[in-house]
Amino acid sequence: MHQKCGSFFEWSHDMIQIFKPKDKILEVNPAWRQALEYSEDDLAALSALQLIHSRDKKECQEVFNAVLNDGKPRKWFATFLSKTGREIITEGTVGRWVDPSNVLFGIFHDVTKRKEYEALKDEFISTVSHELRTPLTVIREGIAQMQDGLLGEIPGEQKELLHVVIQNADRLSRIIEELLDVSKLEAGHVRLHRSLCNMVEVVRDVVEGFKPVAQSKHLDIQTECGKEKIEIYIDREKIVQVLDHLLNNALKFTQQGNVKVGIREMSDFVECKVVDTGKGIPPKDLTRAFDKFSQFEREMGPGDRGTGLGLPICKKLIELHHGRMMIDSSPMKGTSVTFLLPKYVQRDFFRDAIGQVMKKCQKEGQSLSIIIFDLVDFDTLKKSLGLRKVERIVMRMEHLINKSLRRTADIAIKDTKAILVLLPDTYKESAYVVLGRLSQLLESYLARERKSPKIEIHSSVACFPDEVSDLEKILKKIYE
Amino acid sequence: MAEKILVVDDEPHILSMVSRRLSAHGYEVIVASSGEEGIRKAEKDPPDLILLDQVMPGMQGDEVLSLVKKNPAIKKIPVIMFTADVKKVRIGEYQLLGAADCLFKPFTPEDLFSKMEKALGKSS
Repeated sequence: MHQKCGSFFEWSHDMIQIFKPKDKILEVNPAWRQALEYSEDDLAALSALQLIHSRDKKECQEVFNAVLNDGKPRKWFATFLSKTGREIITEGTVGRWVDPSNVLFGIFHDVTKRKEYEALKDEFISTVSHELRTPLTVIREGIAQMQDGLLGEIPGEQKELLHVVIQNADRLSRIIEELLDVSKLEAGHVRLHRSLCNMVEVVRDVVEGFKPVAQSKHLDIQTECGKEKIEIYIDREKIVQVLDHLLNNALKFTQQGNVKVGIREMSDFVECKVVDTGKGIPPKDLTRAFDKFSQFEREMGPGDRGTGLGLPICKKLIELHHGRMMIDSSPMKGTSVTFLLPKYVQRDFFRDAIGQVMKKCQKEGQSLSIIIFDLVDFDTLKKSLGLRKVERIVMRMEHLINKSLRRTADIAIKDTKAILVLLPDTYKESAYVVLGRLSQLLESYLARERKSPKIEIHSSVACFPDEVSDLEKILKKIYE
Repeated sequence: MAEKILVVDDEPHILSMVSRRLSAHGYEVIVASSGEEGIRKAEKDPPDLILLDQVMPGMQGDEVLSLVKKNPAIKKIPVIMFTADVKKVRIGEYQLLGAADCLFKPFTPEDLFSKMEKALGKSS
């Protein structure tokens, strides 16, 4: 057949190979030969799997078998070893020949460079920040020791100067931190770890922490909420980060009056509003409030200088929760920052997480395996250990699983009593291999915990689209 | 008697800075400039607390931590991870390995002492 499309084959920049999975490579195109450095004569002695890196062999074999079985084309991922021993990472498609049907073809391209750049970028960011922080630690602590008189008393004027230096060292370390936050958020590398939280309690805790600062400025700070409990699925740490920043700003720019945090529960949203009676932001600057590095009201009050990255980070964190953030201000009257967080119930939370991964797999023609772990006899456990303990055990298990998952696309998510492991681009057979490994890990963790009554976990696997074709069926399988 | 603190860090300036701070606060300080040396010193003369850097040439902090926690003679010693690592998500990992707390560089003396006191209190 390839005689008919000979020029495609000859001129393609993508590598093409025609092969019998358990046997020989039958034909390859010039792009393939050039990348992998083998000549036409070498081919006779090569089997298809022989060229693939040992760590990818098993998975390739599975994909090949699946394509041979049902004839549906699938995504190709493999690291090749070239004749001179170079590793070449490829991505593409593998499909089945019409006749004879025991022959497959792979069309793929070299993504080694891209993978290298990605790894290099991640490495660069983490190295730079590590390399910046280490000298900064020496600078900050050295000056703090002089200021604290550890090396002998120093005159007041010098002390003041040292204080300014420390403040600026701290500002520099905040900038580093926030630049990293922004770059991670913008690259989509930040994942939320949602859990069920009482929003009223979250806000009160943060407000409590700001009371000493408010008192020192003779400002009143309070939480206003009609209810004691508003439950919502959020990443607590991220929302605390947002509240921290908003309250810090509110207190910094308010000289008299008060700062109020209002929480309201609406039908689909929870609204949170931080209102101050500070000097406000002029209308012309308000539109730039969420831009990076925009700072206004430059005449500085007491306290630390900002970085101009705080509000953009807050907005991104709220948007990651599928929420919205708005700002309103009138000069001399005060500023209010409002964010809305969509209400989530447990099922929505799973639906959202699975739905996103499923959509991606569907688009890329991959199958998705889902492992479900749930605690046997949850109610008894809750009664004898208390909900908090049980939740902590589930959290630890989720953490262990996430740590041991090998591919970046794999994720584990949890609710109170169940953990879901999403394995994109994985067939049922491999999912069982992962299940075996994870079960062993969890069993040995639970054995170490030695809780009484004994904690048992139940596990099952669902495979999309082969077994379950839509989201609702998966959810049903989980909650049955 | 003063509590004995073992500080493990490959950065000589950090090592001297932290020792001076701790001594001024009344602690007895032992230093080690590598993970291997840290383990050796901890085994030979068990301290009351270990302040442990993560990124070092040779043995990394988390490896040292898991070795400490595996050794029955010294596993009760609280360990505070002392790190400039950006991956704050690793706090959970350190906790799973048995770390008492985590202190980020650059640090403030207040933070250092409050975490140390908490860890020391917990262990007694």
